[in-house]
Parts: sequence; C-alpha cells; structure tokens
Amino acid sequence: MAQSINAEPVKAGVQAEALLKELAAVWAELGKEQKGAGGVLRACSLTMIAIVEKDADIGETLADIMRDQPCRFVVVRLGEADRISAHATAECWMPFGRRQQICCERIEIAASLETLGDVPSVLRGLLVPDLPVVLWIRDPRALRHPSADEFLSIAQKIVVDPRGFDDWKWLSEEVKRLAAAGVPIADLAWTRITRWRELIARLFDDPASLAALSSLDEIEIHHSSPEPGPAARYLTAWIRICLGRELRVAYLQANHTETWQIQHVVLRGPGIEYRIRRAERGMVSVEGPGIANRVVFRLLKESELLREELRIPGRDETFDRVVLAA
Amino acid sequence: MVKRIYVFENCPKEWDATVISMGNPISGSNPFEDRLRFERRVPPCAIVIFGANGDLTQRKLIPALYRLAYERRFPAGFAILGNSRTPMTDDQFRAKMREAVEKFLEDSPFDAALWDDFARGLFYCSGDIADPAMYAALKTRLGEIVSERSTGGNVLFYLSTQPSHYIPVVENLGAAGLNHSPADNPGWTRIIIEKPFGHDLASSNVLNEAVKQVFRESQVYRIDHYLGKETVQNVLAFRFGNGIFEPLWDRRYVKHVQITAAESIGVGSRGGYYQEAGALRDMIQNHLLQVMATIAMEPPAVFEPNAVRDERAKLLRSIKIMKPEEVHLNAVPGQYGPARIGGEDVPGFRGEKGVDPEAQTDTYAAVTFFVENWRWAGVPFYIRSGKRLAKRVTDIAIQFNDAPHTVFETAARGPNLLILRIQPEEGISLRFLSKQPGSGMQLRPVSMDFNYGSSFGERSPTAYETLLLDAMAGDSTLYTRQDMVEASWKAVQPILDVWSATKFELPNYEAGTWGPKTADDMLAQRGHTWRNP
Repeated sequence: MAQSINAEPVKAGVQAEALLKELAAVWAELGKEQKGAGGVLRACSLTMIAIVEKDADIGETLADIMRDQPCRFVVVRLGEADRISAHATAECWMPFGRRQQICCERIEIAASLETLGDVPSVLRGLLVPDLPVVLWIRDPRALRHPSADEFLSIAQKIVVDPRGFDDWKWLSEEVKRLAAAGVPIADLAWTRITRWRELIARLFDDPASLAALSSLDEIEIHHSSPEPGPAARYLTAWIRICLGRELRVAYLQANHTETWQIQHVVLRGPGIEYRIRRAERGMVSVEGPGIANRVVFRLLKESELLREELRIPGRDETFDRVVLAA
Repeated sequence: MVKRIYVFENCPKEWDATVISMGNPISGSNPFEDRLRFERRVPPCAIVIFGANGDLTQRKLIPALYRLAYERRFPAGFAILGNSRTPMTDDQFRAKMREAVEKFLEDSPFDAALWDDFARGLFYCSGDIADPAMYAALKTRLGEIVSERSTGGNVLFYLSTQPSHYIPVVENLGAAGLNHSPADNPGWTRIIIEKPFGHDLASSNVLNEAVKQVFRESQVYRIDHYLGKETVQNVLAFRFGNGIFEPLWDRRYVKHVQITAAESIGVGSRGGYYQEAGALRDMIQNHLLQVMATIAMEPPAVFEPNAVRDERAKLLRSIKIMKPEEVHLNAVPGQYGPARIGGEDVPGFRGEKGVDPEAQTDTYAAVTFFVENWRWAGVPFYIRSGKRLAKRVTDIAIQFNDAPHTVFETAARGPNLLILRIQPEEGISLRFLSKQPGSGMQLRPVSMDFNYGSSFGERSPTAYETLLLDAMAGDSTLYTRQDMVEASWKAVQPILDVWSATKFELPNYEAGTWGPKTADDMLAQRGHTWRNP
C-alpha cells in the first residue's frame, strides 16, 4: 500500500529551490519516522512529468509506475488557478516480505491554461540530474498551448494518448507532425497494439506460415467505434509496411463498449486465413492453418502501457515509420 | 449493424526504404519481428521430458513452461510429451501437472482458461527408459504430435531422470533415430542434460563419450541453473556494460574474492542422494565454479554463445590444479552436527533420514582456488558452500586492497568491498569509508546499495524459464560445455581424491553456525577472514 508524506504547500509563487528544500525536509522526516524500523530507500531512475486535468485520478497509475520505475514525479494539474502553486510529497511502499520502505518523490503543481507558461521554468529546476526526463501529456490541451515547445524541449521522451480525447484526429496529426520533426514522441494507441502485433508476428514464426505470407492480400479489422481509430490505423499501416506491398483493408464496426478497441483481426489470402479475436475470460483465440490456441490478453491498465514506454529509453523507429504512413 | 469500409491504398513512395529495413519475407526472416517491443519468442517445438513424473518436472519444469505460455513466449505450435514408468493417460498426466503448477507456480496467478489451452499441448507416453521398444512407441507418438500440434519438427529432449539413466536414454535415442530430424524435415533436435555431469572426472568423461556418439556438441545443452539466475547474468552486464569497474578488476586492486552459497536448511529428504554427493560435488564443482568463471573471465569480443563460453572455459582451465600435499591447506570439509536453533532441536547430518550414521559426507566445503593468468595471479578465490549454516544467502564479495597510506587517525578500518548479492535480496553494494558528521575526522564504513527489487519492480523470470527459452531459441550462452565441465572436474578432482582417502573428525560444526573453525584457519594463513554475509 502506497503511503504519502506531505510537506507544507509552497504558497507564494513557486521556486524550484524551495520545492527541493521541502523535499529534503520530507526525507529527513521519513528517516526519523523509520528509525529503528527497516529504514527508507530513496529510489529514482528518471523524472516523469505528467500534465493532467485538474481532477484526474492518476494516483494508482503513478503508484504502479513507481514499483517498476522509481521516479521523481512532477504532476502539473491544469485547472483554474490564477497563479501556479505547488507542494511536495514522498510516496512510499513496502515490498512484500521486506522491512525497508522504498520511496519516490512527487511534486504537484497546480496551474491553469493562463499560467501554464510559468511552469517550464520551474520544471527545469526540478529535473533529477543525469537521469532521463519523460513528459506524459495526458491533457492534450497542453500541446495546443503556446508554451508547448518549451515543455517538449525539456523531455527526452513525450507520451500522449488519444483515447478519450474528442479531437483525436487533431492529436494524431500533431503526433505525425512532431514525429516528422524528430521529436521523440510515443502514442499509447501504438502501445496498445503491441500484443496484437506480437500475436501476428508469432503466426509467422513457423517456416510454413512464413511461406504463405506472400499470398496474403487482405486485412480485416473489427473495432468498436463508428470509424477506425488510431490503433486500427497504426495496425494496418504496420502490416503493410512489414509486407512492403498493397493490401485490401476492411474496417468493420464490432459491438463493444470500449472505445476504439480492436476486437478481431483477420489476415486473408487465397485459400488461407488467420484470425485473432478476443474471447471470453480475458483471452484471445488464435486460429490459422494448423494453429488453434488461446493466450492471455487481459485489458491493460494505463500504467502498464506507460511502463512499456518507459522501458524504451529512446525513439521507437518502427513507430516513427508507422505514424508517417498511418 | 456492421459497417464495412474497404480501403484500397497505395504505398507512399517514402515507404520503400522502410520496407527493406523492417524485414523482407523473401529473405526467410519474419518481417513482423519487432525486437524493441516484443518479448523474445521461440520457434514451434515439442519438448520431450524423461522423468516427467519426478520432482524436478513438477516443481520447476512444468511451472516454468506454463509461465512462459502465460507470458506469451511460447510459439503457436508447441507440445510437451512426458515420459516415465508410471502408467498414465494424457488426461491423468494433465491433471497431475495442473496440480503441480497450482502448487509450485511462484509470483504468478494461475489462470484456469490459459491452463486449459496449455494442457491441450500436454501428452504422455509411459514406458521404461531402459527398454528400446519404448523409444519406438515414443517416436510414433512424437510423429503424431508433430503434425497435430504443428511443432515444425523441432524436438527438445530433457533428461530429468536419475543421472544413472543418462547414458541408456542417450543411447536409446540414438538407436531409435531420434537424435536428428528425419531427412525430409528441416527441424532441429536438441537435448538438455541436468547436472550432475558425472560424479568425478572419469565418469564425466564416460558420459561425454556416450553423448558424443549420438549428439553433436551443438545439440547438447548442459544445464546449470545458477547461470540462468538474473543476478548471475547481471555480473556480465555489470562488468562489461560499465567502464568504471573493469579497470579495477585484477590482481593490482583486488585482494581476494569470496563466494558464499549458504543454506540454512539441512538435507531434508535428499539425505540418500546427498550422502553420495556432498557439498564439493553438489555445489562447488558446478554452480560456484561457473559463478567464479563469470566473475573472473576475460571480456568476450562479442556477446555470442561460443564467445562467452570460450572465455568461461579458458578461465576454468586456468585454475591451478592442487597437488595432493596442497589440499589440506586449501580445502576444508565440514559436516553439521546437531544443535538447537530458535528453540528447536535440529538433527546433525548423521541423524538425518536415510543417512549412514558414520557418513564422511561433506555438508560444507571451503576451497581456496588460484587462477594462473596475468590478471589474477596470486589472488585467492575463497569459495564455500554448506548446509545448515547461519542463513540462506548466496553472494560474491570482491575485497579491494587497502588504501596504500592512511592519513586519518581513525579507529575505523574496513576494506572496500563490492558485494554482488545473488539471493535473496538480489543487488549490488559497495562499501567504503565516510566521514562521520561532526567535528574531527572520524571515519565509518557506509554502504551504497543497488537493490534489484526496488529499481526493477517487474518480476524476474526464474532460472528455468530463462534456460528453457534459451534452449528452444538455440542460445547456449548460459549452458555449460563439455570442456568447461571437464575443466571444473579437474579443478576439484585432487580434493575429492584426498578427502576420500582421509578419515575426518566429523561432525565439525554445529548447525546454525558459519561452518568449521578449520575453514577460518584456511583464510587466516593468508591474513584474511571470512565475512559474515
């Protein structure tokens, strides 16, 4: 269970130095509290900046990430604040069977669209030296903000997610533009299809199936939206790039409530057909000539998607190519 | 209502270069491969386990294979064919393996739906492994499974039997033509052999000769599960992925190295086996010499199986072979006696079930090895392993030389120690002296810690998951080779010879302690002491 230790909020303006001082006080307090117990281990492998809506509930997501990639989290909440304010906390957890708590730092900054431009100067002072910086733009309004370039220049990796964003087409175009400009951007819509892609790849590990690849001429994707979302588009672009030729692509709307979720993928050619489809109990069934099995395929949480991205420190060249072609 | 949109699109011109770099189906590689994101996959195959009703299969192998299926590491076409003497149907075998997975699966949920699918790939063929007719039946069964499960003709045999059965199984596989794929099938055939690879140098050579008659060396995977442990693999990453430690990694800076593999438990139900083996054979000859080789080997030019194994083998061949008269100064046997630990009486080794009351077995062994090469000349490698020691721990401690001149007047001394913790609490610590806060210049040892669990929250695969996956993928980096096995037997054979000809006063340490005093004396002669891990 994660536990938080709070420092007093920094009230008058926000100075990075003052926040770091607050953090130091938090650590000192934690050290005192844990004296005699197993102690506290301060862990940090990167700085992760999250720009989120004011009331976004990301506590669980951050706690999950912390277990995998201990970070200094800087959460920028976009609300109606007429001036920016901030406070520092430490998030701790006790690994099962251990006596020592592992703690990460978390700094919350409240800002509004009007004051967002004041934030980058604070962020620059809050980055953990010599470690990577990842910027997770959960509230895409930040990308439209005049200070967006300043935010982008701070990070070595930028993560966005079009799911749930009304103007996802604009965001997709923006991702494409940034990727073309060399900005190291990642889109969680692409991350969501890793397992689909992996299953497709797995179908063709066997030399007999590999030989059948050249006869594939149609992709059929069943998805749960009136029109194919970014995930379906990325998937078809990726398949066509991998095969290096034209294919017929059919998008079909399946009955399902989860936005843009891919339900079913069919790869087809004369006399052959491969199907991967979601089945009950969090599984998918995989069928093809001589193949019929099931694999675990539960829905991934936001934190799991982010964790996949955080494990890739640099650019994903495959994504860079796919996004330009999607 | 289903809405169907057909899109006919042309590839934009800028894709041309991309297509080439992302793989080309004509070249025979999978064009969908994405090494950056995808977990490593293995080709379709059938795994044949001899000794499928045994402890190792139930505790380690099947849970590891199930876990690989859970992680989607398995190919679309796979099958497991178990063999043992016990008559069972496929369904009975499946039920038994399910029980084993539910009981022994570590750090993972059991998923009934996945199990159902996994179990469809489990088959069983009973029969006596000494009976040639059994192999004909096995071959027929395997042929059916290959086509039913699309395993591509690839077969991995796993010898999980008593070591005395290794040679008959290998010979029978050869006689039945199961040591290679049929001429019309491009698949591979491999065999995994569990340790021990013989019980001394001579028997190891006999086993090797028998295996060599039937399988090529490239088909043979000798498993030493210690090499599959994440933290042992991390030794390579630590040494060869960083620039700051390797320059210190030699006789000029290292005073000595201690490798400890301690268990707090006794021999339990393995008394019968252990009585014949002992700590030197059971742990040092294989696991700990492999760990030592990993610590002391030269950097390979490339990270490829034979390049890494060549360096390990070179190191093992560089170990100084003791003369008989040197053994008593450099090797100490021990055996635990009864004691009261935590308010509970525990028996001595000779009081354990199935153990001869006069047994001369070494439940503890400590050995000083020297490596005869430029890098390590004169640096002692102290290796110890034992049962019923003070706690369960495996670690490697590299003790550096003291500062050449001490400028501080301080009571604190203490060497710089680099500790690579293999289990439990996997991680790395560096111990050094630091100034105590306050006036004056008092120093105190402090520790800089890297903890695997806190820096990488994700679950580490078990050694068997790693090694099984490697064997299926044809990666033998973490498997031992015959020349390595032979070199490590050569290193311990003089000790075995002297010990077997000597009657020791045993038991010589109390259960729950750090071993016999004679082991302390072994280090004391060079002015060194064991650390308490």
